[in-house]
Amino acid sequence: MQIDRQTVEKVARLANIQLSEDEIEYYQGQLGSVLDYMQQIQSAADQFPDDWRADISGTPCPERIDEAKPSSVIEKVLQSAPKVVGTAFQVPRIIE
Amino acid sequence: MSSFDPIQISASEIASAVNEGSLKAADVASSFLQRTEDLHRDLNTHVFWDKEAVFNETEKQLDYIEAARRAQKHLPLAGVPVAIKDNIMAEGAIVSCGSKFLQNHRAAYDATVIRQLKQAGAILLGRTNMDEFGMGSSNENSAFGPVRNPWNRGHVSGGSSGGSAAAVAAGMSALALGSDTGGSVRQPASFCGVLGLKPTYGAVSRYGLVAYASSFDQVGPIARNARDLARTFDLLRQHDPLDSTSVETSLFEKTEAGLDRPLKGLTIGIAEEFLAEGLEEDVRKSFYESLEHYKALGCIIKNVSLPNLRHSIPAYYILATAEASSNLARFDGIRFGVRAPKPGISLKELYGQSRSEGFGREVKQRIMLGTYVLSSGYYDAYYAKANRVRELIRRDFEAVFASGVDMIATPTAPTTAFALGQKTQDSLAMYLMDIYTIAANLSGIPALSQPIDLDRKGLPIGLQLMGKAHHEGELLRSAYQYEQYKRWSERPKF
Repeated sequence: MQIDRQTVEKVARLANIQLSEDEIEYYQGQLGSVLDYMQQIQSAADQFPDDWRADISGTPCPERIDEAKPSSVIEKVLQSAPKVVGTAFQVPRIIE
Repeated sequence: MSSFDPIQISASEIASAVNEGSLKAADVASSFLQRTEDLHRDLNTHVFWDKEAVFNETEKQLDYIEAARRAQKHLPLAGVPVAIKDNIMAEGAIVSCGSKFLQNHRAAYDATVIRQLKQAGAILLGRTNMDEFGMGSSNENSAFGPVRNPWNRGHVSGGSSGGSAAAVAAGMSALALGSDTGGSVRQPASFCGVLGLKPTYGAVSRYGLVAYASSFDQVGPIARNARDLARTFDLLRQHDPLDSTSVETSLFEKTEAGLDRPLKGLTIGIAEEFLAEGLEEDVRKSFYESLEHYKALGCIIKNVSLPNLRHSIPAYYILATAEASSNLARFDGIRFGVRAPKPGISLKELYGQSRSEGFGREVKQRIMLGTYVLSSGYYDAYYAKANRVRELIRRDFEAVFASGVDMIATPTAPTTAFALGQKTQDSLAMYLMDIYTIAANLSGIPALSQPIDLDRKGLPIGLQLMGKAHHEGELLRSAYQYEQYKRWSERPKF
């Protein structure tokens, strides 16, 4: 399956990934061969089940009580952030 | 027990000796720390290894173990060194997931599995190398370089939990934790000649495991023998209110208690259709020989059919990449990880540049594949269809198990460990290595890999047993009794 340059660029844009020229060429080849292989799934049985379950194991998962608890990790979380102002993550200006 | 061989001693032997007081936990830790110090560069098993820092961190745990011993409280993993895959949160540790993106990221909390290991008396000995975010089958997709196979340094360790499997095989640790999304515990275990278990989905908490594909991911133990594997699984299998997919486990019997129960009458299914192309001759031969040994242990071997299994690779790579594209959207350069340093760029550009610089080649590829199969116009043809195929595969297994089959056996991988660099330019060839392992993740069932032989090049061959949901006990006692019958004592040479 041929993947054109525009498709690679579109998918990269949707995924918020900037690609170099070399990368666009590389992914055109790799995505093409993988998607070609994935086409096989189109030949899968036509008698599909009406429903499919997201809970694959089918075993009940107990629910916990929904209660508010203080979080003690804010400082630790901020330590790993690239840029912090007070207790907030700093982002570039989005309104001119 | 004053001296021991780190590559031969089992976790259960260490725990017994430490609990009795005949071995000091501090001596065990020192011995394994030194072995890791000596070997980790050669094999590239660990990331951010710092012997002094790891040693200092063990102190509190050594006090806890000593206090338990004095109180005659038996800890199941007293003094047992455990290496941890670098995608599992341990408070204060750098958790990089094998990615440049997270090379400065320190965990703010302990994963539930880490808390469980600490309570059991284990000593955490280092963070192990892995394919970036778990995406790979050879550990060559790590930002910190590939892990080398302890049996042959020119070959891959398997992946994505390659560092964990190689560390256990090389005796740097008695146990390790990995995570298995499509075979990432079992395949490296097979390539490195150790045992690995992918538990039933929901049996072990995922709280604190960095998500790759959430409906597939499970944390699993890696060990050098079946008893150690069972003991570790038993303490990890526990309902966790912090993981909404964690199941109620209080009624399950401890698997270690049932290891001696005879295998007589257990039926092992073989899907011949599954064992066709791409299977190496040495692997095929050893696989059938291992079935003869299981027969001698009283098992019945029966042919079964799993007709939809041939679609498992496309289904898996559609669904797992779709989930990955969503899960990895959080890595944007704002809250953690690398931020593109250029000043004056827009928010959108910051996202794009941070992700472009932080992620490696395979991760970008899988995010883009996932984005493609979820995008408008392709969703029904790929994502929705793959979910229905997943359901068909699950029903195939259900039907086989309902027909009186207890386990299904396959080789763990179609080949033994391949040479470094052999498949790095061909994604599809790499994806096909997962042919035997991903069905268990698609259907949520448990699966185990055990070493059965060496091929003519001296590389380990693994057998995979897949079982009914929550029937890990059958897999573990089978591996245990096989081990007693045909003792696997092969170790890599150093």
